[in-house]
Amino acid sequence: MKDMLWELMNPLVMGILLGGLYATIALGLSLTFGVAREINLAHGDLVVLGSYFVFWMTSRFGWDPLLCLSFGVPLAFFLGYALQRYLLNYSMRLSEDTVLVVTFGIAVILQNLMQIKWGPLSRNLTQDYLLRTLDLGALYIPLNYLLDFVAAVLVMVALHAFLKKTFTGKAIRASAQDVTAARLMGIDVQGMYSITFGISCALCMIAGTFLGMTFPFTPFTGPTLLIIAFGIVVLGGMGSIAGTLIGGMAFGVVQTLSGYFLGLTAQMLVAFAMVLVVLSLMPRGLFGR
Amino acid sequence: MNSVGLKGLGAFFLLLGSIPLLLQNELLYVYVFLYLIYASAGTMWNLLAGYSGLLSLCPSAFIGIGGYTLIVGTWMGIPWPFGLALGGALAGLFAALISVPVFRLRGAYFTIGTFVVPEILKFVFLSWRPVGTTVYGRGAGYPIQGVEHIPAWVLHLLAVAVAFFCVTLVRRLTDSRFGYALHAIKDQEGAAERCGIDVFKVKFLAFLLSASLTGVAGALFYLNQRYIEPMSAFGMQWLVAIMLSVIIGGRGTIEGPLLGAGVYVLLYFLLAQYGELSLILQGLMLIGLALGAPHGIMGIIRSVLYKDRVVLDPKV
Amino acid sequence: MLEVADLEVTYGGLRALQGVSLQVFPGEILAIVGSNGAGKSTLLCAISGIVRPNKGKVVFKGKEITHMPVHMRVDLGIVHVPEGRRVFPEMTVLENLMVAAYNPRARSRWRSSLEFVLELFPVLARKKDQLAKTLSGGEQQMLAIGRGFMQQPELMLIDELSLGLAPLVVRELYTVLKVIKAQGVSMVLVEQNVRKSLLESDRAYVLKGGQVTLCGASRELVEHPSIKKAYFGIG
Repeated sequence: MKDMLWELMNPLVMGILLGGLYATIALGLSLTFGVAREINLAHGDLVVLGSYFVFWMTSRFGWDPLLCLSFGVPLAFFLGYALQRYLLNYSMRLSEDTVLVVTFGIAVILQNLMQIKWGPLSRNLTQDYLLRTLDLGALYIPLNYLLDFVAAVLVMVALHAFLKKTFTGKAIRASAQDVTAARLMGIDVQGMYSITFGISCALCMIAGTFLGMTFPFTPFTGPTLLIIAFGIVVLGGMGSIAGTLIGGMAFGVVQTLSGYFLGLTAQMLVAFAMVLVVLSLMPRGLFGR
Repeated sequence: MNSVGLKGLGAFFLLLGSIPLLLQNELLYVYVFLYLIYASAGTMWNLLAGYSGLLSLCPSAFIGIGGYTLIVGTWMGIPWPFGLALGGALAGLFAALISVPVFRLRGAYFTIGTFVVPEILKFVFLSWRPVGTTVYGRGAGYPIQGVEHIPAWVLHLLAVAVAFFCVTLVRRLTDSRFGYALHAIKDQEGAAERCGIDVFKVKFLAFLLSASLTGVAGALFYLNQRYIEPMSAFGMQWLVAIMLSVIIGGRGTIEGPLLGAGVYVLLYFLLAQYGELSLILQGLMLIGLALGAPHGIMGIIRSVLYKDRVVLDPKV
Repeated sequence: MLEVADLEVTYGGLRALQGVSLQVFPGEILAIVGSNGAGKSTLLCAISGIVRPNKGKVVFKGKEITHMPVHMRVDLGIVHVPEGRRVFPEMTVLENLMVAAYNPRARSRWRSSLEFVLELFPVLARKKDQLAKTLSGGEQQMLAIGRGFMQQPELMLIDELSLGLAPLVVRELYTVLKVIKAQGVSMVLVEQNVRKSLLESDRAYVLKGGQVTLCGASRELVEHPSIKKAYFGIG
């Protein structure tokens, strides 16, 4: 019995670390959903776009992926801000369905743009130094998993600090809780939505970078990411950063454990099934409002 | 509100059915066949998205199931006419199974829930080969087995029959008590429930019907195409095609999918020369329509014809 | 300071306000009185911008603001303390107060405003790290007014101050209002409690069925026969 538990330690720890990556992927979605009640069907594709952007930069300029972030994050923020301000705010005013159709259209466009530019075969951003494994006795931890988790925690701490400490962060939280009251406080709520979506896209860029460093990706990886991200957001509660991390870890652990017991193919299936279960059991999430 | 009478529909389909037979033009058969498939699938999607307010993103799941039932059926010795019907039945059964988790979801949750379904199926069929050995693509790519060439007019008439059945069924349903229940659910689900409408049962039935007939349409399509593979069977292309067909024509109307599918087929062949750019343009079209003309052609026609009298449903 | 001319507001077919005109003079407390559904809240919403009128004008300090977005009016100094308080439930008292200083004019002075508000409402100072949803009705109302003050108001619109609150608390709040008035803030009060609002205000308008029926000095209106009949049950 003790041996079995010992053996499970490795997939368990890997699952927790993987959860960090998942949480980063889901974070942007959690933010926009929590603040603007907006579902972005192109979310997964935006993450993959981030991966491809960094891929493009590393193959063109030879930079390390993490360095590319210094360019990518502000770029993503501005693109996201513009997208929300000039397209999505208007779509939201029309109807909820409009947003779904429009973001679906964006998803289709992104997927095919990426396919045209980079082809349907998978790519990755793995660097040699990432392929090392930490050997801690019973545990073999791939370095990139650890890096993913550390990055996830850093990003979440930064986001939390932003939301809690700055005026804009407070304004965003206020807009999420009561739109009319926020407007009465002098907050331009639509502007807040734009900023939030900008942050969300910046998070997608970060998530895409770490995703690419850990797993191969194709132009069509997006929908899978969206589905898992949504499952995490619902499980952890919209707009709750800690909840997203916990949700991510839950998914990570379930995946690695089912991979351990049932094999690689079952992993994805179990993840998908888990999303359906989560969606049907708790549309309101454990931590959120 | 249905402005097209049964006679009008009958005449339309009679015309559509007979002209290709008379002209015996290869290309015309192809166009009309594709049109009829999209019109059928579109009409059934419209039942959910247009009339019931359920923006479902899983029609490709049913198309794929119908198609796979037919093709795998031919490998297992099931004659194709039976395969067609079975495809519809299995698609319906599948819908019944997933409706349990999926109908607990409202609005955007429902949409994402339905988004998951084709992705799951795509993944399953990419990894699993139910019969035989691979010939095409990855995973379960199969050609049709043991079926000799079916003359074009047979497939054509089948397509006409399926489309006619779909359209008259939806027309009949939406003009009945069932239709009013759907409308009520679309408008205010909570209120509909309090009025005594068994919301789950109504949604379930609509979903089941939509799924089965979409499955039949899919089976028919793949009978014609004579091979199937997972990426395209469960892919976004179907969803985009169906959505565009309905949205171009006008959601929530009977004529909508019929008009829209026609425009779409023309567009499809027009854009085919641009290869991968085609889907990008289709995506742009979706966005443009959603923002600029959410009620489609029928919406424009109605606002011109009826001017002040009609208020277009803002929820579309 | 504020002038409303011939305002007409329609809510989905229902005419909430019709031909309403009023004026607010600097430094005064104006009461808007009327029974439920008379259109009082709608009037405040039209002034703050939550609702847009189909006819009429709203002019503030000589500037027409009829169609100006809400957050820009706040920048001008129009502050609306809404009915039901509407504090941000998941934010602490301190955060609620701080977020109210979001607009640039208020933000430059947020520290001194905060100090003032916490002095005004010691309860809030004590509970400053508690979530707003844990506060009692009276405390939430204090928070709402405190928030209003953080916005550096020149004109404060207060909707249903005393709703659901104990008389002792209400008395305390009105005392605070006088302190705020002393800071040079003009106020428009909408109140269910007609007697109280007439006693505490300088002038008043009476709304009935979306129209102004009476206006004048509050002291005189209290004695007015129709007021006495309609709201005090006398005569």
